[in-house]
Amino acid sequence: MNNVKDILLSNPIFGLLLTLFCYYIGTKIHKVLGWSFLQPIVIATIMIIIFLKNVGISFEEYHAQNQLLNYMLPVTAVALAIPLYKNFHILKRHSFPLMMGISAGTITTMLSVVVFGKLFGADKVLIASMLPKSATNPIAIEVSSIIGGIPSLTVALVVITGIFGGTFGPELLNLFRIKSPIARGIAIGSMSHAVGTARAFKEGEIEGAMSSLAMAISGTLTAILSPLFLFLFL
Amino acid sequence: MFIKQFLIILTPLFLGYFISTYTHLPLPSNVIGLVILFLFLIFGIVKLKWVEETAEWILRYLALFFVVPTVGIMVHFNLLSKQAVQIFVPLLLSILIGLFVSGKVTELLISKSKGGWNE
Repeated sequence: MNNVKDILLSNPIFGLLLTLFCYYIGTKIHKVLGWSFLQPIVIATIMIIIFLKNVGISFEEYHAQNQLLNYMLPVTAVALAIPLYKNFHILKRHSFPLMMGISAGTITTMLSVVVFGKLFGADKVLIASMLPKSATNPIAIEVSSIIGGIPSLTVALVVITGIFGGTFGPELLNLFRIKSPIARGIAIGSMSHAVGTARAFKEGEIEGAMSSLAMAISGTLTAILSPLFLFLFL
Repeated sequence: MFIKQFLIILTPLFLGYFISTYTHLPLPSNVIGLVILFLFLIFGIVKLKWVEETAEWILRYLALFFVVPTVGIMVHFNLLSKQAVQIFVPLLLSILIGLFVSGKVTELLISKSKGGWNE
């Protein structure tokens, strides 16, 4: 087995190839099955972990061979300015309800993390890792390291949050009797970033637009509020 | 085309790192970059069509860029199984509460402000 590991790791293309291959398979499976909880990223992650464990490659070794993708991480956050700008006319006309809805959701979800985290005995590092979970990943990963969380744990929790919101969000909103497409889009985007937004677009054009707007604003808000939460509550 | 678009997206990020380094703001450089690009668009310094195609390409494949950090969860399997309750109960409760509050507040304020909601 050690031999296989050496052959693969000595090849600089191996890591990136593995990531792209597994993600590609993930998109294919996702398309065929169409289950929103089996996102391509989930399928790819599971495949890659099983592969790495079996061949005996560590995460650090795999990570080092994916510098091209890692380099792009911060760039992806900047791209969020585009959906924000495209939906800005809606925000401008209805700024009060939209900003209030996004802020109220973002603040209460962060407060709930602190309150229930402490109630169930999570330590400071765990709470800091959970705090940015509703933000989109490029923002959450940076926030986590600024406030003393474990960034790679945060990334996983962000994915789980997105999948939960994207899978059950619309059904939960039905349960809460929230009917307005605008309010539904805002709630999904504020809570479950890009994965939720993809689902919101399936619900309707307004839901999707509102969700992508909410994702950019709540992510920015999470980044601004997290150090304050750290100072006040942790 | 692609080079120009990529150049325009990287510049706000460059400024973001620059500002973050010299002001010591506890804000991620990429969030500062996001705000700068947004302001550039608002003030017409950057035209939407200069960045639209590349930005939307990036956003369409957003999840791909997070496969590698998500695989990093393998380092934390021990922590996740030992502290499953401490992590997943607050996580799920906070999502439920946030979803409810966000949706309710928006819907309530919409119904109060009359007209103009046929967007």
